[in-house]
Amino acid sequence: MAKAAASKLDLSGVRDRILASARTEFADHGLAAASVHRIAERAGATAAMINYYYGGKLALYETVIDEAQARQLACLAAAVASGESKGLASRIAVAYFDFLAQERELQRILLREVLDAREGGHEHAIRSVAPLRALLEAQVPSRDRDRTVQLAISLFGAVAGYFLYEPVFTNALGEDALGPRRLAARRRHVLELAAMIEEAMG
Amino acid sequence: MTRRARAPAPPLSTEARILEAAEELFCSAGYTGVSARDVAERADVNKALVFYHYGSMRGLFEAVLERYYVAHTKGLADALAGGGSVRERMHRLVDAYLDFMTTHARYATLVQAQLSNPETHSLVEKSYEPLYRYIEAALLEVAPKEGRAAARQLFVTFSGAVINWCTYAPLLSRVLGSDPLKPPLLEERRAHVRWLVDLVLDALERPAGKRKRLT
Repeated sequence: MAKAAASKLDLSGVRDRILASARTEFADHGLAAASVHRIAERAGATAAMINYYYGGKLALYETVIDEAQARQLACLAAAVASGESKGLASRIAVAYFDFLAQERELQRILLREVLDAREGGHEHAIRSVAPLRALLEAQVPSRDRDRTVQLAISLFGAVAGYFLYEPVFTNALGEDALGPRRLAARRRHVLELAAMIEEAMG
Repeated sequence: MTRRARAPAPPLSTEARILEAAEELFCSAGYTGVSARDVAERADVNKALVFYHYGSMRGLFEAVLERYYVAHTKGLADALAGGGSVRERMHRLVDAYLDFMTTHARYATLVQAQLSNPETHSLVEKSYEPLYRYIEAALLEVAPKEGRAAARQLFVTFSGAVINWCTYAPLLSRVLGSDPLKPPLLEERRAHVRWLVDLVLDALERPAGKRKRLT
């Protein structure tokens, strides 16, 4: 009781706590099934505060996506900017790998939109592609763009697929697939794969 | 009319009818969107029989997935069997993978939906494992057991290259402007995945001294 009362009074940082709580909730349940009450409870806030600060569930959802996406994009843009065009695939792949090793909520939120998409309803996921595409297309000559799209999807699968299927790998390997040893092994493979691709493309 | 002209198919057992009904329903409504009553109605059986044969909705779901993965593994084994060079057989393997996922895209979606939820991912683990073991063993023909290009790493990479094309199809069709599960985009993808396989095989075949970092 005392703890709950204390956290309710703790208004400093409440916006950030709501955002962090919402990120988890949306990643676990998706927009439709997410509960504003659960978000509030975990953040030591109230549903009214969520409305006050963020303007409701959908607006909060969009803030969560925008905020995480800005961070992800900054991380990928830094990888792009940190070297020559040679080595670009390796830098992007490994930057994305490291990002997902830290946080996967954004990826899970957008994946859930796509998986739930029957008749549309995955607009945020679709919108998320444009800035990534622009980032890549600025780096490759237009004649290589079709190939770049295919490669980007494969590298995305090699990186994100590992984290998504992690529970089955943990089960099959009998070892935590997200533990430092397996993560490092996967990271080395991703770098190797990217290096093979770079070598083949000259 | 034509259906009547054919010889009637042998009647399915109650157990099989329940499984077929469940498969259809889970694929369209997801794991949590289906009740035992829905399955019983569709299979035209008493609800109690659903529990009699499968124990619980979880048991039923696992049985549906198990059947799917058995068919999936068999499809790949058939593709890999028979003659040809290692390269030809590996091309057949990824072709079969892509074709199977394309025709079972709803399954891929169903599986990923469970995997992406911490409360349900354990539903997939048991039935997935034989597929994983099979492909890892198949790739051990061409790749080492450990290291940067280990068979198990290649499995994740190749299956990721194939599966995501199918699960992200609704998004890709909007972004790329046509259906990724149909030609010409499907064939473009196939060519790319084969290229990826060749790339890895070339690297693995290179004499050790010429390998840059491969171990």
